[in-house]
Amino acid sequence: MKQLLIKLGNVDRRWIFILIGLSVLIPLLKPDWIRMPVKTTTNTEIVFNEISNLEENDKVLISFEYGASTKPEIHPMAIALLNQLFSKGIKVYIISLWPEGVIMAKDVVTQVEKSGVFDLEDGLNYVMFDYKVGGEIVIKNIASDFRGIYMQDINKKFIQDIPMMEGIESVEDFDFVFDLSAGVPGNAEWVQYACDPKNVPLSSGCTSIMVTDAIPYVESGQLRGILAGMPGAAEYENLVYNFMINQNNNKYILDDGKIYPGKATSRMSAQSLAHVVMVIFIVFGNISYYLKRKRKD
Amino acid sequence: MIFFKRQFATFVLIFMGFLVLSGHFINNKALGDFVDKDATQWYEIIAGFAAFLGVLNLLQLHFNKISYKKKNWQYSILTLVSFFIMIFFGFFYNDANVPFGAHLKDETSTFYWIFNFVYLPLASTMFALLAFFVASASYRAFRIRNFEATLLLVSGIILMLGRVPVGALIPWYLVTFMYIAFIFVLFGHLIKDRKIYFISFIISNIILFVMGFMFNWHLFTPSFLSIPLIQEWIFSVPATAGARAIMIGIALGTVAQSFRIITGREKTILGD
Repeated sequence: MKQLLIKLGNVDRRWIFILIGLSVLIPLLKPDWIRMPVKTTTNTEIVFNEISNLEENDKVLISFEYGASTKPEIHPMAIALLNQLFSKGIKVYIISLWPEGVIMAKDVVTQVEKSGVFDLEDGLNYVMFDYKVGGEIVIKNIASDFRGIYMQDINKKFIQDIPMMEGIESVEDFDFVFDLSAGVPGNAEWVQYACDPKNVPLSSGCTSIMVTDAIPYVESGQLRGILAGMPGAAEYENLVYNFMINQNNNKYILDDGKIYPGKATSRMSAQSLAHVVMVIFIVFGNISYYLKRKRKD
Repeated sequence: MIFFKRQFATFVLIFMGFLVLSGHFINNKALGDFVDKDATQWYEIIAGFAAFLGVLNLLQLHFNKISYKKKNWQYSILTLVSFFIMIFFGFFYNDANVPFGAHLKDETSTFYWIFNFVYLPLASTMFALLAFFVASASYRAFRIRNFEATLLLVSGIILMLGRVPVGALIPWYLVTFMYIAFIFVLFGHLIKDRKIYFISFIISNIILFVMGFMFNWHLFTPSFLSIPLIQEWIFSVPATAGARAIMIGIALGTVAQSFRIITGREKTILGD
C-alpha cells in the first residue's frame, strides 16, 4: 500500500493529461451524465442587480476586449448581457478595443438577433463601432470626446444620422458602462481613465485569471460587481434566463421567441470535474511526498 | 543626424512630457483640451502607424530567419505564408456581397471563414492546452514543503473547488475534517507519540461532528464551513490586500520611471 502511494507521486504526465482530457470531454459530450447545480455568488448578483436597476431607454456602453482564445469564457457573458439589456429596452452602444473584439461583438449581436427573442434594429436598439487602435488612450478619449474618435458606426453611417447617438458626447452621457475584457486594455483602464474620474457606474466580465487584479476595484466599489470567468458567466446566464422566462407581459420579448440557457452552464460540469481531478492528483502527490520524506528521515 | 536622434528627440520628449503633465495641474481650457483631446488623438494616429512598423519588423525577422536558415526556420515559412494569405483576403479579395472593408466582419467572406474555422479553433486550442500544463505543474509543485507552501496549497485547493459548483456540494463535516487535518499537519510535530497523535485527531473530528449536529450546521452551515464562501473571503480579503500592495508598488515605480523619462535621465527609450 505504502509503495503504491509513493508511486502515485511520480505518475507520468501523460496519465494526467489523459485523465484531465477525459474529465473535460465526458461532461461536454454527455451533459446529462453529470449535472452540477450553479449557485450564484455575491459579485454576480451585484452585476445582475445593477443592470436590473437600469430604466427603459437608458444608455449602456459595452466594450469588447477579448479574442478567440478567451471566447469560451467571455462570449456567454456577452450574450446573457445583451439578452438582459434588450429585454429591458435599454439602448446598447458597442465598441471594440481589441482587433478581434469587433468580430466577437458582431457574432454576439448576430446570435442574439437570430434567437428571435427580440425585434432588433441596428441604429435604433443598438449601434456598433469599429475597432480603434490605442487601448487606454481611446478610453481616455471616450471619457472626454466620444464624437472626436467615433465619427461613423460600423456600417460607415455618420453618427449625426443615427437617432440613438443624439446627446452622446462623452462617457458621462452613458448610464452604465460594461467592460468585457481578457487583458489590457481592460477593466482597470476603464476605472482609471474614464468611469472613476467621470463617476459613471462600471461593471465587468473577465477571465478567471484577471479576477485577482480586478478584485481591489470591486471591493472599493469602483467596479459594480464582476463576472469572474466561466463560473461567473454560468451564474449570470442562469440569473438572466430565470428573469427572462418569468417575464409574461414584456413588450420587448417576442412571444414566438425561444429562450435558452446559455453555453457556460453546460461547460461548468466539465470545469468542476477537471478541478476535482486536479485536487485528487495534488492530494496523492502530497501523500507520496510525505511518505518519501519520512522514509528519508 | 545625431542631433535629431539624440538632442532633438530628448527635447521633444521633455517638452511633451511636461506639457501633458502640466495639463493635470494648471486649470487652463486650451491646455486641458490639448491634453484630453488633441494629444490623445495624436497618440492614436501614431499608434496606427506602429502597425506598419510591426508588419515590417515581422517580415524582416522571418525573411532573415529563412535566408540564414536559423533554428526552426521552417516555421517562419508557415508564418509568412499565413500572413500573406490573410493580407490577400483582407486587402485584395472580397467575395461577400458587402462593400470592401465590411467583408472582414461578414459571415460570407473568405476572410471571416478563415478567422472562424482556422484561427479561432487554433487560438482556443492553444489556450485550452493550459489546463493540461497547469494540472501537471500543480501536481508536481504544490507540495507541503514549509508553512508558506502549505498555505499556498490549501488556498489553491479551496479556490479550485470554491470557484466551481462542486464546491457547494462539499458538506460541512468534510470541511471541518479539512480544518482539523490542516491544524494537525501544522502542529502535529509537537505531539511525539504517534498513537496519541492519531487518537487526538480522531477525537477532534468526532467532537466537531457532534458539535455540528448540536448547532444544526447541517441546516444552517456557517460561512467558515462553506467552501464557496471561504473562497469569496480569500478573494475579498487576502487577495485584495496582496493585489493592492502590488498595484501601489507598480504605481510608485511608474511615477519614478516617468519622472526619469521626462527629465531626460532615462535614455533607453531612445535606443541607447
